[in-house]
Amino acid sequence: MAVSRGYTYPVQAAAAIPAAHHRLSHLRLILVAGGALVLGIVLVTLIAVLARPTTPACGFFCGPRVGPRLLSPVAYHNTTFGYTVEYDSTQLTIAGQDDNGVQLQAADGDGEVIFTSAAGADVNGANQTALGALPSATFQDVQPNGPVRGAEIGFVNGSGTAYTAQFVPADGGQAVPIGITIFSASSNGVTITVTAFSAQSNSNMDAPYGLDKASSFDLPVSNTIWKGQQ
Amino acid sequence: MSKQRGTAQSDLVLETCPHCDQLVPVGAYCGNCGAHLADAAGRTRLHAYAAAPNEHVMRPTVISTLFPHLPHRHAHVFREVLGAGLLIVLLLAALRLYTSALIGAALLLPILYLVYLYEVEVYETEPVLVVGATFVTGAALGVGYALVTGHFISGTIGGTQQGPFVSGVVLPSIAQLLMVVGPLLLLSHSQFDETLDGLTFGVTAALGFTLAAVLTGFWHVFTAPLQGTSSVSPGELLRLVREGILVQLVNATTTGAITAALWLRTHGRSRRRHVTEWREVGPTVAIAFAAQIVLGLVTYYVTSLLLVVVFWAIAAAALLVWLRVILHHALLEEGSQVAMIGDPAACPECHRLVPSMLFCPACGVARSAASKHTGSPAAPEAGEVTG
Repeated sequence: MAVSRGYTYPVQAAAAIPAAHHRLSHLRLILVAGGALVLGIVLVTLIAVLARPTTPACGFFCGPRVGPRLLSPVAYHNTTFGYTVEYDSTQLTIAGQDDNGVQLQAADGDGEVIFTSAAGADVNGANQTALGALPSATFQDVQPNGPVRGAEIGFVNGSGTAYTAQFVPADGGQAVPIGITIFSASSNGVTITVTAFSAQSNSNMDAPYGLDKASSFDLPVSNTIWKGQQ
Repeated sequence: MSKQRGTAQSDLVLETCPHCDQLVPVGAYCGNCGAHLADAAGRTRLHAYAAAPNEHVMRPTVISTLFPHLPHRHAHVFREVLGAGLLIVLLLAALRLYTSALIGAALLLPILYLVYLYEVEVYETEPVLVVGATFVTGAALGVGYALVTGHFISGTIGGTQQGPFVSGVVLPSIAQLLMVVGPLLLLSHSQFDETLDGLTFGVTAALGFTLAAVLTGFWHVFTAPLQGTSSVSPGELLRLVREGILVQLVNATTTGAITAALWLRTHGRSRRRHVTEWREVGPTVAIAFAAQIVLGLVTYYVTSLLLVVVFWAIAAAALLVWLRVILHHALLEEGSQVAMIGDPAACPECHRLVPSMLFCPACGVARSAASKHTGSPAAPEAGEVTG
């Protein structure tokens, strides 16, 4: 760098400058850093592989999986879009169904999980349609409560939003605070939307998004079988 | 105004610095306050970063910000190793070795930083103490943090009304606190009294913490089959970039800024010439925690992983610039009030034979940003005045 006003300081050869001597030459630095990186990757990977949980060998005794996957199995099958929803009949009953889906109600009447479906892959549009379909007289003061994390229908990733609201019974009873989740997923040109609601609960362990019946509703959502799946 | 100074440096030409009013060797920069001598508005010399004068202060570069002791002739090797490491990570991902790619991404910066510590000997005569208090302590706390919070989140908090507060506010704040714990063990050591010591300890602790937290948090991924059956999805690639690289950069900058500000304040080396309220310890800590909280909330609320990664990348670049501003002014701050001119020695940055001072009169680099390994000339302390 030139020095101002014509005054310059002499430049020293790098070899004559103690501070210019590096502990690691360029080549050694590359070798040390690269070697440490490769060693680290191999070592951590090796430990992870050795620590991998093992499953017992299947062998002769393992047959193909046949039959229902639940203890009290009942399945709703949608002929229009070819998907199936398995649910536990001791916890849920069908409250209604049509060409597009099914309405499952909790056995004790506290909440519903509704499956609707449509052609296409517009997940966000399907969520908006489902939100708009909630009767405003029954579902009052609907407030968003953040995204549904890990939204998944039958192992197909989706997206959606959780809400809080006041549920006003049709017979005009007292309003009940509820939690609502609306999320959709799309596969092979079919979009399935799940609308679930039940009384609010503060038990974080058992009631994600504040839905008292979350664990009951999770079962049919997880056990949705898309067209073409087994 | 210029005049000759006699005795040991008989041909040394001196002039009065218009910024600090001290008699200093003629040159482009004041050897005492670091200001640009020819520029009346050059007191803060933002065009020449005090640790690497060939770079603007506002340039968001990783190496000259987090590795400030490296002279520019050696810094390019670290830059090339970092670039090559990133290419290796992408190559592993392309080969469907997602596990190895993630491990490589998590290891890259910490390994490079440990090599840097060895290269410039920031630890001076206490390598075990420094690495133990920073990297090892940070890693141990990172493992504990990942185990506790991983269980806590997946077990009880995910998807609840408390989720945003816990995931977005509480956990990032706890992580930031834990990253500062290790360096605090070294705060009272008079041997490590420079701002760049604080920065280095903070960055080392943050990298150790983040490496351990990522490895622990992703252990379930590592124990999956080594090679995936399908190519790595865009989502996995984005997660790789965020968890492996951007989180490390953000944590290193926020923690480094906190510890640098703490060191400058605690060791009383500030000349109080470039003091601005928002660069004091309190506001620096507040900005660092605010950045962590905002990023935590963004990560919680934004469902698009691409948007999250873009936001993290912008934040990392902004935080790097913020850290450079803090370091630049801290380096200009450090030193004694009176100009002390030492014997001529070659500047490790520009290799010119210049009088030893706080700043090189020729290139303006802060001498405290030089490597600490044996043979590096130190800026003169009180009592070393010659001439």
